[in-house]
Amino acid sequence: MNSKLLKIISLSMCLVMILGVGVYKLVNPLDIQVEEVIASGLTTSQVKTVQTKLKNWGYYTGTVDGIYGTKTKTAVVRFQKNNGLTADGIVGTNTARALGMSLTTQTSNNVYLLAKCIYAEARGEPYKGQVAVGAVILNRVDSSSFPNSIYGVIYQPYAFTCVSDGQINLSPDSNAYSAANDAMNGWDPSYGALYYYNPNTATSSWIWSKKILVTIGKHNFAL
Amino acid sequence: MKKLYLILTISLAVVLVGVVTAFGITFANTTNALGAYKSQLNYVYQQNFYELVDNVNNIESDLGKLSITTSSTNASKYLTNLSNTTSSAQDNISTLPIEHDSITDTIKFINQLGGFVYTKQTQIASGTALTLDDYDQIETLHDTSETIKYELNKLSVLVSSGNYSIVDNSQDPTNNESDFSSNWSGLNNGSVEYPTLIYDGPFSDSTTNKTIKGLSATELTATEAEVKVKEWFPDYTVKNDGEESGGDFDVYNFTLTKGDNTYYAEVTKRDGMLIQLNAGQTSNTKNKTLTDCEALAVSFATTLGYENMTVVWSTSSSNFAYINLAPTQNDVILYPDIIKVKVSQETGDIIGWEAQSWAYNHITRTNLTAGIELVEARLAVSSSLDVRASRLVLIPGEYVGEILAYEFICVYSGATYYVYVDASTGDECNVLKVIETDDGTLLM
Repeated sequence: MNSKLLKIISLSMCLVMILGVGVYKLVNPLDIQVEEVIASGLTTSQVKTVQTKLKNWGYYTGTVDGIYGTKTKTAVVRFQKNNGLTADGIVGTNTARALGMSLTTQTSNNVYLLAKCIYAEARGEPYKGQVAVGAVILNRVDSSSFPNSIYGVIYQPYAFTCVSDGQINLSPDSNAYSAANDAMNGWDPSYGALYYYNPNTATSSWIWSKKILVTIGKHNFAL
Repeated sequence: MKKLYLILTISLAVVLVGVVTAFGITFANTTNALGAYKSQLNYVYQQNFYELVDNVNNIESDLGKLSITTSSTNASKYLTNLSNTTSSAQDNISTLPIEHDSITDTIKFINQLGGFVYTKQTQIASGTALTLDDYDQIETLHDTSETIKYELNKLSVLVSSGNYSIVDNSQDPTNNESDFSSNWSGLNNGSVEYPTLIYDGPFSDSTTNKTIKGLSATELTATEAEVKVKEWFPDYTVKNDGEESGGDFDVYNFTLTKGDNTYYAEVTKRDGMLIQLNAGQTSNTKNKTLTDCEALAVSFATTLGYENMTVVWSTSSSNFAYINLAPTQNDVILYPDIIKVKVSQETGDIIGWEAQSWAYNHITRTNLTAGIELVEARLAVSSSLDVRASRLVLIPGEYVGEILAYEFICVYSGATYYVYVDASTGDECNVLKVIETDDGTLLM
């Protein structure tokens, strides 16, 4: 009888442990394995180019995914050794040249952030309205009443609802990206506006005092 | 049987306790983590707030010193300090969780102060001492900075009192009267008297009002404008969306469609000029080279009646070509009147047009005669540069006016630079560098 009792108790204990771990895992789903990503200083498309070239030449066997992981690094090292380059696994100017690709010196994080903000704020709007949202952000950078960088303007507290609710982290589509580039290249369908709002959902009372310049889609653009 | 029942009850109780404990630990962890994140955010806000107070204290003191100094060396020193503190104060203030309407006046004052300081630094560097008018403006700026300093220090007493948390007092972004914002109200216009600042520099109140020089008084009706649009875009179905008049330009809006593509064209009421064209058209391949696109842009400009347009800059980004065209007058390139054209590298279609600069600036210039010869201007360019091309151009002044200059396109250790030399004084007035990015070429 005693051994039976012991069995039941130990069984219960096991059950508790399993359940406990299960519940913990259920509430903390972030505990997942991620493949190591090596900081390569390359853009995703550049990494893809490197991977494609190395794959065609038989150095790389993984997938062309734009992620500079250990497999890609090993392939780069092998390529460097075979071509008399410093085998450090880093795609610098010389390695890039040997690969037959060019490295640009500057990434366009600003365009990407602008595209993300346009996508999050105006993805259902006509194309012109998307360019206008990008233009408002750039007009703010130039205005004395706002921060002086694209990052400063977009991340200014309470400035954009898409930052508060996290939608800024969605991946922009090609339309938003194109609209961001247009705004950066000087297109301004808002004609110098510093604000825009949807008159059906706007919550700030002061926004109504701003002079409306144009209406595009659902948005009023104002100064 | 009774015993088994008891055992089962105990087991169940143990299981239950286990589950509750697991939940409890997780909940406690989450709450702890949330608390830690909140504290961390509060520290960031506090750090920025206190740094802002420090910066404003220093701004007030340096403006005071600047207002009484007679030495250019000291003036330069105080201006350099002010340049650093205003820039830092600007960074601090833009991270604070305050409703835009409450904080905008203070942000504007700090930006304008920075712009004013920059302008005076340039003035002293070019050998001109501060004038009596400058001292008057410095005095006004000093007065305002004293009031801001007083209000900020008052607020800092509140923020450092007890358990005041900026985070807790700014929790609800939809609440217009969040506490920290209303505590800030002592700094709004009305409590603090913010001056109107005019100087030849960034953020000056004078540069915000632009006048339209490029359009005549002749007005077109919507029907006349529609006829023009149909001439420019013969293959498209044109829909008249009516008139809009809010900004500087009164325009007629048109929606153009061809197959799946939608274009938005805007034509000015005065002169019937295509001022803007936007199209969300995809371009997936590069069938046209940048040179092809340049020719297409120039040809489209000719269709619209713009003769002798020169390609002054072009770049390609994700299969789109961006071409900048400028008119010439007496062989002088007029940069202030630039028109931007976007061309699809897949189809060669013109899918973007932006001519606001032209509408604002284009007039027949009266004085396009250089005071010095090209060879003379060439002397101002560093001899270590390899000059590849040179020409006479009209460029926009950094903040106001226009400057007639010689443009030298040079190469130095693999990089391309555009050097501008004032065609009347022979002084180098601007340098731009060509920068390759993963999204096209920039001139900065």
